[in-house]
This record gives sequence, C-alpha cells and structure tokens, in this order.
Amino acid sequence: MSDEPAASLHGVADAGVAGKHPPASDPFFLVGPATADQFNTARLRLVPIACWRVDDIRFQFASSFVTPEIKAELRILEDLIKAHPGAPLSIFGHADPVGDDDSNKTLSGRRATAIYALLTRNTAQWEELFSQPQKNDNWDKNGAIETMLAEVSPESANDPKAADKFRHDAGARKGLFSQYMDKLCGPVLKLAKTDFLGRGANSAGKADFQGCSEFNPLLIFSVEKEAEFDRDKDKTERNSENAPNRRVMVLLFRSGSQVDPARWPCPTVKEGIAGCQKRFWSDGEKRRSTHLSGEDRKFEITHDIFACRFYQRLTAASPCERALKSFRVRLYDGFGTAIPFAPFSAAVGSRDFSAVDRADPKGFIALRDIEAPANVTIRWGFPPKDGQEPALLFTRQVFLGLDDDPSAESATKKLNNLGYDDADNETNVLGFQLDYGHLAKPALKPTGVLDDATLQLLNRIYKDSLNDLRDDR
Amino acid sequence: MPGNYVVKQGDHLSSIAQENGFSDYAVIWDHANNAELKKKRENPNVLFPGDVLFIPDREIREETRPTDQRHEFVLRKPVLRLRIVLEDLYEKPIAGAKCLLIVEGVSRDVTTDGNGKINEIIPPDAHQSVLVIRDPQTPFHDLPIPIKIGHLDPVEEPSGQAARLANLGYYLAPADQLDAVELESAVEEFQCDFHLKVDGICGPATQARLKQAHGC
Repeated sequence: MSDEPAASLHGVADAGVAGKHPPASDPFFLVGPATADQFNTARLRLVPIACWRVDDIRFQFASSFVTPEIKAELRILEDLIKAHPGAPLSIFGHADPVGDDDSNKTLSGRRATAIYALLTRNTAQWEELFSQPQKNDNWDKNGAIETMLAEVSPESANDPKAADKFRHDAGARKGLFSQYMDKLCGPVLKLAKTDFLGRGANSAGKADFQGCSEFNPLLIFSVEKEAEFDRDKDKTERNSENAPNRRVMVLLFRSGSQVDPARWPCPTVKEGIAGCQKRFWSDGEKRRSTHLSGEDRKFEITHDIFACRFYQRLTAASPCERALKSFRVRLYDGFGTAIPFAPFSAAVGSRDFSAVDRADPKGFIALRDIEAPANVTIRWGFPPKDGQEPALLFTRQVFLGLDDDPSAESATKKLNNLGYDDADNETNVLGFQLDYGHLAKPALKPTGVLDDATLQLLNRIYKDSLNDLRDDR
Repeated sequence: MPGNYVVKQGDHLSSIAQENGFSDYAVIWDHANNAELKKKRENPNVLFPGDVLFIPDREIREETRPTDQRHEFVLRKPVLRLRIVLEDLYEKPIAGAKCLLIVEGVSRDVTTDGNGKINEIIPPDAHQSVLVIRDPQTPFHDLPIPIKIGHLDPVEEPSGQAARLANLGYYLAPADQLDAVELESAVEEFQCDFHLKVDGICGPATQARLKQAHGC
C-alpha cells in the first residue's frame, strides 16, 4: 500500500507450527506377581515427542509442489530436529474433504512424498511427481519450473527459453530440483533415509511417509456453511475455509524408536484407502462426515472428528493439531518502508517482552504458537551501527487473529492494525474513509461513522493487506 | 483370630498371608470359606479391592524329636515370583537385555532370556519395584520404569482392562487412572490388532483375549 500510515504493522498467518508434545506419562506397569505360571507382558510403545506442521499455503493450490516460502518453516524444523537428536521422523499428508477419498489419498500422499524427497534430496521422487501429473497436481502446468528458476537463478527467470530447457530435459531438471531443494533447506537440513521411522527399509516408504487422504480433518463446516458453499459457483471461499484441513504433519518419535514396516498399519502413498479404513474408529465414517447445525466442528475442541483411530492415537496430544497459530508481522518505519533486520521485542498478552531479536531481510518477524485472537505489543527500531545497542523507537499494539471476524467490534482493532490508532475512534474511521473511501462503489463519504459500507470496505482492505503480504516475495 | 479381611488396592495373597503370619498363602486360599472367591478370581495374586477373604486361625503344628540331637526343620513355603516379558512394539521379545531390577529397595542385575522374560524370586510381601532396561536398542534405555506389584485388577474390571492394555502399550493414559474415552480407544485398537470385532466394548471375548495376550 502506497499511503502507508506511520509505523504500521500487519499480521499475516504464518504457514506452519512446530511444538513439543506434552511429556507422555512415562510408562509404569501394574502387575500381578506369580505363584504359578502367570506372567505379565510389558510392551514398549511408540511415543511421539514433537511435531511440525506445514500448511496448505506452502504448496501450490491442489498441487504437491512446495513454494519457496516454505523456507521459514524449514528453519523451524531444523531447530526441532536439533533439539531432539536421534528422534526418527514420519510424515503424514492430509487433504480437505472436497473430492473423493481416492484422489485425496493420492494428493495427500504426493504432498508427503514431496516433503520427504525435499528433506532427503531425493530428486528422483520429485521427477516422478513432475512427470506423472495427477489431475490439478501438474507441476509443469502450474509453473513449477519458473518458480524454481526464479529462486535459484533470478536472472534467467524472465527468459522463457530458459524454462523450456528444463521442461524437456529430465537431466537438466534433476539439477534444478537439486539446487532448489538445497536453496529451501539450507546447508544443514539434510536427512538420510535412516533418519525416518521405517529407516527406509521399505522401498515404498512405509512408516516413513504416508497420505491420510481426507480422513483426519481439523475442521468440519456447519450444515449451513456447507450448503452455502455447495450453492456457490465460485469455490474460492470454500477452498480457503478448508485450508486448515490441508496440511502436512511431521511427527518426531522418542530417540531410538523403531518399527517394523511390515507391521506398520498405514498403506504406502501408492496404495489405496483400504488399509486406512481398517484403522478407522468403529464409527469413523460418522466422525468425519457429521455436520452440525449452527456450528463448525473442530478437532481441537471435541477430538472426535478424525476417522483414523491410529493417527488420532499418535497425535491427540499434539500441539500441532490445534489451531495454535503463528503470525508474521512486517515492521515498517514512519514512511511506510519495511525495515530489513529490524531489531524487535514482543510481548504477547501478559507475557514478558522477549529478548531482542531481528527481523528477516524483508522486515518480517514471526510470532509463534499463539492462541489467537491475541493482543501483542511489539517494540522495534532500526538496525544499530556496529557495536551499539539497538534502540527500539517504535511501540505498537497489534491484534492477531482477526481475519475471520467481520464484526463491528473487531473493526477498531483492524483499524489499529492498519495504522489508525488514535485514541478517538471517529478520527480513525475518518482517516480510513479519506484514504480508502474511493475504492468503494459508491465512494465513501468521510463521515467518521462506521456504517455498513465502511465496515465492508474495511474488512475487504484488511483481508487484501494480509494477502498482499502473503504474496510478497 | 480368624476373621474376614477386605482386600485393598495393591494387596496380593502372598502379602496378606505374610502379614497374618502365614508362610504358605495356600492355607488361606484353599480354605473352604474362600472357595467362592477362589472360583471367581482364579488367580490369588490378582484380587480386587473390596474382595473379602477369610483368614483362618493359624494351626499349631507339633513335631516331636529327641532333645539330645540336632534336627533340621525345613519350612515348606511357596515362592513368589515376578515374571515380566519385555517386548518391543510388535510383540518381538527384547531378548538378552541387561536390566537392573530393584525390588523393595534391593537391586539386582538381571538379563532377559531368549523370550524377553525376567523371572525373579521376590519377597512374599513385595509391592514396589523399579526396572531399568540397560539396552540402547530400546528407546526406553536407562529410563526407570516403576512396577507396582499386586496392583493389577481382575480383567473383568475396567481398571484391570486399562492396566493390561497399558502394559501392552495400548492404553496411553496413566495405567492407574481410568479414562473412559482412552479405554474405548485402546480397546478398539487392541480388537483391531487381534482381529476381534471392533466395537470399543471390552466384553467377555475381548477380556479373554486380553488376559491371554497379557499373561495373567
């Protein structure tokens, strides 16, 4: 936005979350002693200790191709792996309930494969995804080559012939995949097959990566919302509301955990859904397909909407299957210019200010694992000269998690986030009307009154500003 | 004094016998007044709080020997054992694993046999024990695992089902706390693995299979 008001901020939902599972109650055994031939079996269990989730937005729509923005989430994964040495991983892809189970099994499996291949630098797996498109999951058609080129050699990105070379030459593609993977993961994050739960023992990746189709949604729409989406010709909104259901989860297990791939219940990414269905709750179909009147069903609240019992038992305690959100906020100076590497400190709710940290090269900071909606106070400033202490010149309160709240009550907070933070709300509304009023049809009159038309425009501008930032490359 | 004894959590017949001055629990267990309980519970070491046990009078036994010689009297008493089979996730025994077993504060080194079994004689009144598996091939290496001897309830009871399912790795809540939702989940997963009808209800067929899989 060109006429950026003084030192404003934007919250934008980040695309992933990582967390530690609550310490599993360490096992203990209740046994009966023996005076005859009785015994007690003590079987060790599989204990997930941490999780990492990457959201839909890091994939191209309906595709298994990961976009460059996943870099931020991969840094989090790198930290998580560092914090849990020796903990084997397993990857679970999830699709939303639109479409049939089989195609969703395929897509969720392809996304899991894409992440596995990325982490292990398996270019052959990406080549298979590229050369064997499935429905909308068509890397070439969706511009994967151009995206990768722009990331690894920006100078050739505008040359259409450069892309053609990679389009027709698998050998060249392999090189491009490899460079792009390295660019996303960085020099440290590189895993071996043996770092995964099945230790690569099964060539189809059993226990290492799998797709859960649409069986484990985090969110099921209310009857009314579902009907409305069914009526809509334009499915954009339905697809966007369904985004939380499309995700890839990585679970880390207790160091030394080992499974027998032959006994692992999840089918491979190429197998059908029969293996999944065997592990359903006895009422699994009902769990995943019941729509309630007047309210959405959320996994984090009722824990009864996953169809797969096996998956739920692994993740019920997982912080990554809750809607704890991470937010990205961009820090600007007083003239609407983002401040690269801005030093900042943040306080969420009543939490203390964290130590001074730095924004990224584009002025973005990440606030993680926040129970939204939340009030966050951020202090920031310009990067200090060598050897000097950073001065945090700006202070601002932001309200996170307002995207879905169109009410008039949230309008003041949205205005605040957009930079209209006068103590007098009429002044804020007036300022907004003057700056943006011409975008409404008919144009808004500067009245200082938050009428329906102003509220509508505010909600639109607010959402757009988030999307602008999401698309910022 | 003969009389009735009401079983508490953690009791097993050997410890009850010991407390009441019996070296052989069978004297109590085989008493006619306990016939009904014996039939109901089968295993004297897996009783349920509230069970009523008849403790008979101790019989005085007289042995006559000449006093000008040394005599040896051997007290015949049954031994109490702690038998635990250690398995990995998929029923594969953890064989030859070095462990430290501490029973009532006394520690001993034990090694599991080819079937993953520990088979140790323990004091008749033992209740507390800790097992430390010292084998880096398990993810529970060096983790002290408390073992509460005599705390296993009968399989007919939900608490007994939860404890067995916990021992078998299915029940993920603490084994001594009953959580109906977790129990249902564990029962379904067990039924699924053991090819029983998956309905989340631990009926007689599931109970029998559970008892068999657990070992008591």
